[in-house]
Amino acid sequence: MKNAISRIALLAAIVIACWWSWQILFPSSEQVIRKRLSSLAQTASASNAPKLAAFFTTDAQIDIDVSSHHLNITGRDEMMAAAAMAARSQPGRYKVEFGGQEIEVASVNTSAIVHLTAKVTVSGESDWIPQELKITFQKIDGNWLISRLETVKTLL
Amino acid sequence: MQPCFEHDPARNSFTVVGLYQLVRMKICAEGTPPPSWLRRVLFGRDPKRTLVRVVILATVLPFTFTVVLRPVHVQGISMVPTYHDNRYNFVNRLAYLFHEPQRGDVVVATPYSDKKIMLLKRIIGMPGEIIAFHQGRAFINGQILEEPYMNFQQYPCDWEIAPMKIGSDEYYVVGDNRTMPEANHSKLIAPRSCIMGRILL
Repeated sequence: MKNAISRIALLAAIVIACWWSWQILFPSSEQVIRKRLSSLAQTASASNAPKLAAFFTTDAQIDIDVSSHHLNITGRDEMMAAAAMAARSQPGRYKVEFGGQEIEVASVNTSAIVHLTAKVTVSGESDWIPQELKITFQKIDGNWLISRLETVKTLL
Repeated sequence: MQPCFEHDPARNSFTVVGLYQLVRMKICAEGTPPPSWLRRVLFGRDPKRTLVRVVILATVLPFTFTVVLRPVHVQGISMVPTYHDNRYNFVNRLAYLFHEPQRGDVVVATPYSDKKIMLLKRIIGMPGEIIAFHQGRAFINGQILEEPYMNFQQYPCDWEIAPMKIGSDEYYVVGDNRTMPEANHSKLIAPRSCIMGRILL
């Protein structure tokens, strides 16, 4: 009886270890996208324009419509210029966090749509601004890149 | 029993004999050493009963503070003067279990994907109604809305919002601080599913 229990425990431990290793070696598309979003938030907080551009496809579209600010950007070059300008005007003043990520991966596993809430905190201020975003990812050469980023209007 | 002194001729000394010593002698006589103070603090006099209490608390408290009463930290000034910035409150999540939200209720709405971010607002427009603002006063289906919770003389408002129709399963929610410019004040048409509950206090 004691032998049987220890064998079952050993078997369970092996199964868990195998599953854990599999998750690390071959992460699902959803896990990869979550990791990518986490790095995107860190890079956006650091205001590093060239690194930020690497998260987007060359023809990426960014459509931001927040109260009185409207911004339409197409392509990496335009995006880098806009990010550099924003960094120059207020260097290192923002902290970007993503929460409530809802990821829908397409059945063919080459595109995904993410709904999330971006929380932007301005250093030295207790107030923060939440903004709902819709991000479209595409898998290009094995990398998940953002092809479209748009704001979603939640408030009137 | 009063404590008294007992003379020990062998040691030529006196020993105090009292209630405490008698109790201690009884415990020792039954073969169980008295529990240390640390053990009593950690596990109580009866560890089994303490364990039952801990299990009940560990089940009831998380249930109460997630399903029934959700604690919230109020941030921002959009509900001033009714609710002030940086205060704590609770959301009664069972408030709309048996009836639908009513006009004038202060509710907590979750319009974002991140359900930890909530908005504290007051319902002024009900499903299917047409709402508008003219000279700071709310109009419902063309009729002025009486708002006893607002003090327009002390807190004047000049909002102008064109009439808009509220959907059949939606509510128009807005803050009480209407001295703020209309563009800076977050208001929304909240679907019923977004309304988490009513504020408790």
